[in-house]
Amino acid sequence: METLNALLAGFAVALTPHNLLWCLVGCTLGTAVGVLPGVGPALTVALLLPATAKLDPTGALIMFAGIYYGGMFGGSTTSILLNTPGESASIVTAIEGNLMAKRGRAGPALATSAIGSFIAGTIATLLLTVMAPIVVEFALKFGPAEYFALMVLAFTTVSGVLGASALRGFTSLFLGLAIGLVGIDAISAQPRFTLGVAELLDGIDVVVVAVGLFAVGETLYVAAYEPRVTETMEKVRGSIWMTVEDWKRSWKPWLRGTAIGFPFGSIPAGGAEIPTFLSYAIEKKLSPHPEEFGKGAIEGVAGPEAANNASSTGSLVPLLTLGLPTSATAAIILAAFQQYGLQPGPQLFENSPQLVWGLIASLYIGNVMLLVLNLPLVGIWVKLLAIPRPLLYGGILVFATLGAYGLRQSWFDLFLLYLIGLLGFLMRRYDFPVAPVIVGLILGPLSEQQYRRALSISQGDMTVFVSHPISATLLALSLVVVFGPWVWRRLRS
Amino acid sequence: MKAGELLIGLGIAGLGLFLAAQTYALPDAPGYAHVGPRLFPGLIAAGVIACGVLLAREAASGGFRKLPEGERAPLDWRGFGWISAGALGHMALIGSIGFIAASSLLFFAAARGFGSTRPLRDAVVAVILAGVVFVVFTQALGLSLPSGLPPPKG
Repeated sequence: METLNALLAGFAVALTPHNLLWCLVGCTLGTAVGVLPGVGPALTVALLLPATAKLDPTGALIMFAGIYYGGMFGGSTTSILLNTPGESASIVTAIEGNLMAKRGRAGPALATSAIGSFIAGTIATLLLTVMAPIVVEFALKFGPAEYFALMVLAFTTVSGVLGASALRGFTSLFLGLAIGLVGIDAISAQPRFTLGVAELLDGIDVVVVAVGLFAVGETLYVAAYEPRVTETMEKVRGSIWMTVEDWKRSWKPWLRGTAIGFPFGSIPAGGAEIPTFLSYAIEKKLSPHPEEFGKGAIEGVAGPEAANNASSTGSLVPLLTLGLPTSATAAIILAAFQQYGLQPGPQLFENSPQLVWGLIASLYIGNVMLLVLNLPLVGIWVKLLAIPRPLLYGGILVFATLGAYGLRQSWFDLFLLYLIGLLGFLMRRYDFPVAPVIVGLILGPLSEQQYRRALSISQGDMTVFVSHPISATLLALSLVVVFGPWVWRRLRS
Repeated sequence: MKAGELLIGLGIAGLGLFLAAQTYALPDAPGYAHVGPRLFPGLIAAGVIACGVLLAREAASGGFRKLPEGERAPLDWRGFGWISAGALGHMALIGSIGFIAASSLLFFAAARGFGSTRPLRDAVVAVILAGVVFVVFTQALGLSLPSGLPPPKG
């Protein structure tokens, strides 16, 4: 009942014309940028973060949520028509959806993906509404030791679980942690690693790092290794509507995908990649037409897309209730909160209920807007896919530099942007994952504060981390994530 | 033995050593907190060194594990150079010639880097895009960007 009242109050905030407008602007911008080939949701939110800088916090975060969701919807369109997934979680959609498009079924593929995203997003937002107050209640019992242990677990899962090599994942994490150290230490007010450069006292901004790695690094890589590759775009022929048969084959995968995606998103388990692959495997097993998989089966689009969206909504549970980002995109959203001096967590629910519940309510509204923006109007976005690559990357660079320069009008940020772009180029060339850098950069300073607070309370007693049952469990889980696979291989051979 | 990969591993280990030296030079003032500003950087420096050493070992014994398969085209320095020149030129010029002109040059250079054969089209699109972005971000979204015009007298 209390939750329902809070949610209704949230709708009262989200339904003001002002906030509805920002939600619509966010959804539209997010879709437009997310649809651009090679631009995933993480880069979409990073590129558009500066656009929200001068708004009031509630309006800005509502717009930002729209950008986030819009980036996901737009990314699916690109995956289906171009087979260039903007992030690892849309790889499956790119495979099966692109095959459908090749067989002239682009319309139903786009429709099942958009409707599936809508259904998964709405159910997941409902679950978020119900779960958030429960987790907040639980999180109030957390002290600094528990928070620190939780962050360590997030570090290990983001770096160790995803990607081909855990070693490269952890290298990325430590690079992010090292970048996060630069600046004034929050507790002792001492400058660290600033090399005497005044511009570094405030630390290195997450926009510069995210845009440098994703946009500048990627542009350098493509220009250096694939400057003249041209992608073939599948045309949307015939009706975009699904047949009765398509509906029959889609609704169960949507629901199953949601059921798989949401829990994976809401625990620190390494993001949306695993649930999409899991959903694909399950749909393949349960489908009455397993022979169509690998040739463009509609279940193979419906399930994973639902899982992807449910998972990204699920990741808002730890983000809003604990301040814990579990993916690169979530880490950038956390940075958006920090831009206003807000720290997500139980206190935010107590102190700014209007903002939190307004944000959650706007997720329901944004989902409806996106369904309308992406189904009847899909033709507009498809035109964006046809932008020639020289113009596309030129535009990406203009927006990237705008984001970095807009922070404080300093050429130094543009210099950092290029340096981090070079780092991103090397990381792309040698297959280092980027997400751990972003998560390390954002969570590193927070985890250091919790660590020092915990030791300050325990008067320097290090056993505080293992004598509290919750933090001991979380740290033990982290050890399993780091050393489990290695021990497992040893035991088997 | 993979030279590039070995260099990456050693470079990361070197970065870790640099971080460790910088950490060591920090004054440690534990005070209340019992842990001063040195412990965490020290741990991170150790982590960076360990990763660098392990990567170098992989590079020396057959290369990084599980890299994506498939041949990579040889590096095209022309593309890389145009993008770099565009980004650094933009950095150097934006303060004096303003956002619209600097961004247009960046856009134009990037288009060259991707082998565009239509310079006129690129230039027109560059100026229009930079102009629209300038107006939208300064007027509607309240960002301040240098116009490149001399400041009004008075």
